[in-house]
Amino acid sequence: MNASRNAILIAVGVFLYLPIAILAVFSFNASPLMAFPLSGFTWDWYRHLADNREFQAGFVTSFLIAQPVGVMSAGLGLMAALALTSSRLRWRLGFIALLLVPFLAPRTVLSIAQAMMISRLGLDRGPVVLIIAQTIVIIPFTAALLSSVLMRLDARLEEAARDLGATPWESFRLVVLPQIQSTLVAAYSIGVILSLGDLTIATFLSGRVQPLSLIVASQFLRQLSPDLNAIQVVMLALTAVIVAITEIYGWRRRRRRERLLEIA
Amino acid sequence: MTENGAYSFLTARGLCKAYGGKASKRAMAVAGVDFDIGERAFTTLLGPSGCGKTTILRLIAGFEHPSAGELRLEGVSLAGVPPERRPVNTVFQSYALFPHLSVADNVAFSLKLRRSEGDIARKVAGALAAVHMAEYADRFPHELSGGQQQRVAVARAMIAEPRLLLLDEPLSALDRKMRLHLQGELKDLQRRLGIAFVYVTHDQEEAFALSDFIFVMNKGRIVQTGRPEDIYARPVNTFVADFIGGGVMVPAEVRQCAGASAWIATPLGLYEAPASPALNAASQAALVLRPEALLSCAASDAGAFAAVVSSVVFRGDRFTIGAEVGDLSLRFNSEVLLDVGARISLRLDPRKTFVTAVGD
Amino acid sequence: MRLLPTKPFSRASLAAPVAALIGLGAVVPMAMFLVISVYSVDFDSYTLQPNFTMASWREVWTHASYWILIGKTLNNGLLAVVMTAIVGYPLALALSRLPKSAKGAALVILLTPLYTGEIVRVYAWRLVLGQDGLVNALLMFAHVISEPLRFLLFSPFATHLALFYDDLPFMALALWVAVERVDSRLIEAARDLGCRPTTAFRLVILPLTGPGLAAGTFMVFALAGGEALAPNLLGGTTGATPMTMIDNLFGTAFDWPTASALALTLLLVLLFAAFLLSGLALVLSGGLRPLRRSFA
Repeated sequence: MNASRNAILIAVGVFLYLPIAILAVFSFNASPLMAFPLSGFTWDWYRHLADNREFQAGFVTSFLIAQPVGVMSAGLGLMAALALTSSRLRWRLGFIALLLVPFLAPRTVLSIAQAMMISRLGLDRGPVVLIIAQTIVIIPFTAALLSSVLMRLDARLEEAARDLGATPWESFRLVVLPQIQSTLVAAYSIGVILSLGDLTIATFLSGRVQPLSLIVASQFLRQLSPDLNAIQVVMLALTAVIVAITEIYGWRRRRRRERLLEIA
Repeated sequence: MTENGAYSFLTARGLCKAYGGKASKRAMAVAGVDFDIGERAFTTLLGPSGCGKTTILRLIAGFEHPSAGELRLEGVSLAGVPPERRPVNTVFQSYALFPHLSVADNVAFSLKLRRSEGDIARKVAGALAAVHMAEYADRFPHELSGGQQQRVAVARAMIAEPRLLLLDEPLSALDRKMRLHLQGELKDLQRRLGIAFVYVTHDQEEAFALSDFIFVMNKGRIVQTGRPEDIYARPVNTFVADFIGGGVMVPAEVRQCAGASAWIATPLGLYEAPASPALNAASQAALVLRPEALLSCAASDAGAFAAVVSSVVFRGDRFTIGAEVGDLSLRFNSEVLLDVGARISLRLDPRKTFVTAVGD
Repeated sequence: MRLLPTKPFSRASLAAPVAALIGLGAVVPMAMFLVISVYSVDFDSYTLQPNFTMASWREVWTHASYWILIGKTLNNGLLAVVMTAIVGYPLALALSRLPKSAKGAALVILLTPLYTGEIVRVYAWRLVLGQDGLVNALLMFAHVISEPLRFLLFSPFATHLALFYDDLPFMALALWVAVERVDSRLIEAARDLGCRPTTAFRLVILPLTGPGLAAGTFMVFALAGGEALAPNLLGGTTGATPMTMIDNLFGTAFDWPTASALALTLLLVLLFAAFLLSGLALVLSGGLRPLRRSFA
């Protein structure tokens, strides 16, 4: 039983991480040709990045765009999740459907529609529009994540706080917030990561701003250079680091809470 | 006015709470309840699960809004007043201690909210000492046993000096020994503090041990109120008698009523027994026959009837004997071991029985 | 004692700002397709003329080329659903059999590939499937083939593989959640009564996870049908999608009305097909009856 289980998990795991692994491998490959057989190990491509002004500018741009996206998508996702876990929400199914729209709609179509609307309204494409548009498509993720955690909280704890004299806001701040802290950080991380990885929305709405994904995409069509590889791997590594830090932080708080809840 | 004529501290009139979706399918968790609770009384809401007792508690605390009727505290209506504004505190069945705060911080919670004057630390120490938990101030809830957590929950609720303390089956998750011990502590605490306690339980023994007054509830209504001994001796109907006392209901035909007693005809014979004043000659009635009312006797004694032993259960200090008389399965206590299948004679002492109406 | 009533603030009202943002930022723009689709374009001045003409709708609905493209997206969606469901079920069952402590880590491992950027994934597939890529290198190394396989990249194979890769985590997640909810004792009971594993799957797991399968189907169909980048960059000449066409009409050709008409048509077709397919999944899995009962 466990053997077949492990076989499936390993097979799928290899499949899911294979393309990423290959990317990493080629970024250290000594040859400028991205072809097998491999030629030897080198840090050269990464060293090139240090001189690549365009890359650095793109990286900074992407990073600066991702921060407000992370914060806003976490905050709005929290609001959506709180509304979903409230017993007094009317048109619950409609709200859920609305939350699914940015997730399920073809991103190209959505971005073009947004570009059309921006133009008709006389607004400019640019960082603000980009940030808002990315936030909108990320909210379904953060809302789903935060809802799943909020649903599992002990409702009695908030009642106890209210019973002892806390207003609804104080009850939220003193009882709910401490318990979802690590999830909020995770939601912020997801927002940052998904913003860094976006290409489609940036294509249509970023205007003159050039996040890294746009730079890579425009070069992608011209040639496959190992520089691009190295860029990708750096982004991947960054993503992995963010995920790892978030998970470890969350894991430690979860372990502590699990022990607490075992008794109660 | 409360049961004993004292000033009514907490009053309910026509209190209703309905649940469910469509109006046609709505269930009434609380279906028209009136009560008066005194300022220094230990009152218990007793009943089977689903009878509405917890709902009433939540209505008093403010976690639910009544569908109809009103609640008044010292004459002031509680309608629209949120839980944090009511001078009422709750001890929850699951303790609901804040897992991310220490015991001391848990207890200090309400004081810190109010930014109250005075030495919070001293008050916390005092509250913890009152529940014998002073040494655990720096521990966290997950490090405590169930009984210890419950004590902390009580301290946390008491420190805010509420006028009314609500307790929602606080001891049901504990083992028997701890439960009995904490029952004593709670009763003691209530007497010392002199405030009103409203306690919810489905355990009749617990209710009897703790309460000054009991409200017996069934299907969203209060069926009987009174002192424990009164309810035990004079249950108002067979539901209460059965829930409270574990006796056998013997069908009885009322021949004649005479104030507090009645002449009845039962399969076991004709008797004059204490009876519910609500009965008359036409009522459907039952004789509440508790084990203590039955005695083993000789066949020649007056009023004796024949029975066959059907079961023998050892209780430590005595045997509980099950005996069949015709269709009836009776129970009585005996210090002597009897054989299953033995033919014996029994008689009953009508003074230890009660005639009550059939119903719930 | 002052017990003044207060006006309650319900957390439900927090839904309003979020709904407003999504409504104005996503729903309204797409609804605007309807308006713009009946406008006309003055190609001399490159301006959009507010008008009422059904020209763009006629254009879209009478030319087969648009419908061929729409057919391609439907095909992309359908294949992705089938492939992810076939792999997703064993994967979900395997995940559900992990010890509790490993499940959290497994979730992270499952979802992390989603965090990689759109371009990164496409890029990586180029390296894996190309003529000098990993697969060909391995096969040649093992002497299975003597010439590199050409059909791996810039072909429907690459497109469907990439879509499968992108959407597998979503289907697996939907199925995993559904499988976790099935009482494992039910499966044990079925086996106890003599069911072979495949029969137990068909008679117990499939019906009880029907709603999860339907949800996953809807999700994957919408996601795969809506993907433009991967088909475009990996599918070669076969990788054109309606989205590509909409992009051309919108940008290069400045034919906003036709772009809008096509976009709206695509959205409606995708939505309709997604509902149809997920309903089919629910019915075929046998999951309709348990679902009906739980609503009764």
